[in-house]
Amino acid sequence: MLELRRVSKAFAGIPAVDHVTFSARPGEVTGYLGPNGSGKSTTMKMITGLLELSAGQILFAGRPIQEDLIEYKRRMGYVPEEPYLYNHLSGREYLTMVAQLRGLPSRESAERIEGLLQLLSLHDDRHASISGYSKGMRQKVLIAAALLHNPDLVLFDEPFSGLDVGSALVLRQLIKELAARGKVVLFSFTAVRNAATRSLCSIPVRVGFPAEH
Amino acid sequence: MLQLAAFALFLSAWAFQPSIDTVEELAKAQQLGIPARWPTFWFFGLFSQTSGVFPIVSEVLARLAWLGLAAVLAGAGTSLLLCYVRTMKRTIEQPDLEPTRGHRRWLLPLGDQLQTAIVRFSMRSLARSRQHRVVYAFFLAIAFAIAVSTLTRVATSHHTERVTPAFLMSTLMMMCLAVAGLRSIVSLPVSLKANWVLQVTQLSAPEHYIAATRRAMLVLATIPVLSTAAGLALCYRPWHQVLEHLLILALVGSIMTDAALIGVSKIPFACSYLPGKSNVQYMFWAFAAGFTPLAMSFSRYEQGVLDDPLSNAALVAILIAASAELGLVNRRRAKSAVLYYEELEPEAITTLGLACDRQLVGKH
Repeated sequence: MLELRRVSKAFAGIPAVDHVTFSARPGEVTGYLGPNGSGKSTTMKMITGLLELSAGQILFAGRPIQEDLIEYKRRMGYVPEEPYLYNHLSGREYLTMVAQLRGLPSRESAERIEGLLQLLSLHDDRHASISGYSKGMRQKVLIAAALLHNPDLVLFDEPFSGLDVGSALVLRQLIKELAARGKVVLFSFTAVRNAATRSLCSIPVRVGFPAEH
Repeated sequence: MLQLAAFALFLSAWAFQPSIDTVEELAKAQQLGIPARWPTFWFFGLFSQTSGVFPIVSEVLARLAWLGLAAVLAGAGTSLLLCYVRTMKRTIEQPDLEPTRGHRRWLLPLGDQLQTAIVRFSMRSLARSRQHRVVYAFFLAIAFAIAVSTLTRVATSHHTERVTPAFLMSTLMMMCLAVAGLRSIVSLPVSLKANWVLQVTQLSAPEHYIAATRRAMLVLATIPVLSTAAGLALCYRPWHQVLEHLLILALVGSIMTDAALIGVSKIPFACSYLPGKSNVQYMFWAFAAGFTPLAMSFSRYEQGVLDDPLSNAALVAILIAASAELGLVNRRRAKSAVLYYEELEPEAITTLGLACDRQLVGKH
């Protein structure tokens, strides 16, 4: 289980996240809803370990994540809000690099990459340069990279932005499947605006409100 | 490649021109028409014409210099015009990072998974980023020109040469240029915003990343220079001296790589830089002023040592010890290092020295 206890973050004294407390359980999809600028992405970055907390505690499987950050990162997959990737690599090269950085066995990771590329309809463009990818395609590369190592905790920061309806439905199914397999799934979103997000609401969602708890 | 070839051609032409040291040699060369073939002598002719120092130099050379100057100015003007009219827009629209070509798969193992990832990332960044390539081409072209000039010296002698200080020095210079050039290039990031992935996937201690960075330096600078030197060495004899020199060169390459990585706790092409800190031109001139005389002295010393097995063994032992010590220092430091992705400026003000003022106030 992922647990946030009175987590706060301030930049130069200005609070970005203020005393957020919630938990995300395995087998459930937890939504983290809030308006723009409410600190959703900052919270996500703190959960990944990219940002340090100003106050509070984040626990995974009952232990503070900072206690063994490397082991925690091994079990965590993250899809950031902005699809920043290395543009000079192809989609497949990027995913192979991520697999190697995670120390995954090369044969197994190659098969998994192929499978994910097929699933996310990126297989035909796998050798094309990322610089030529659309935002949705970049988002798909990020999703594939986050799921490569079969993580126990998956964090999606506004995963539906830039995705077409078809891909969003695939992702929705994927999120459900991940939860069904006992993973902790946490995703943030701004508002119920498009068809894909509306359809997502059929998934049981526990909502955390940044800056309100 | 075109940038590299053009620069290497320019430097090679300068390296190949015949040297004329006396007035007699000049008169003889003029009879053979040699000065007319080399632009340097044209401008020597121009200098003679305007100053009247060497009346022996023919006026034809001065005329060639004027013609050459006019041709260069016309060519520069035309290319600038063409660039402005035709190429400028295309250059601006062209991405700095080139897309991938084809999907060749790497077959060579480059170490463990992490090392392979970092080395391949470095190779691809260097191969596909225009900005990085241009700067590295500058260093490589000089190294390449040195290699070619060494080869021509052998080619004109029509037989295998004994190992000379010139050969030893040229390979040392190549090694230093390649390592220094690469070190300055890896400080320039490819895409800062994409570095989050390296942070999220950091599952090993920083020392493993620093070891991978070292390997990338070896693969991209030391090993290519060593291979080129081995190719050049085929023209030299005796074999045992050639092999001894290659061993010494490999050790020097290892020492230079470790020296270049002192205090470096970052992944190649993945850290922001402060322009004043990694200033390529300063680095180059510092190298030219500092390393060239050092390489000359070292190559002369090495030449003497190669004839004496005992002294040679001592030199190799010293280099092995230096390489091991430097490697050990870097590894020890790496154990407590923290990987960084942002170069921070040193704080300009560290203290206001108020304690001193308080003492003064107290006195009054």
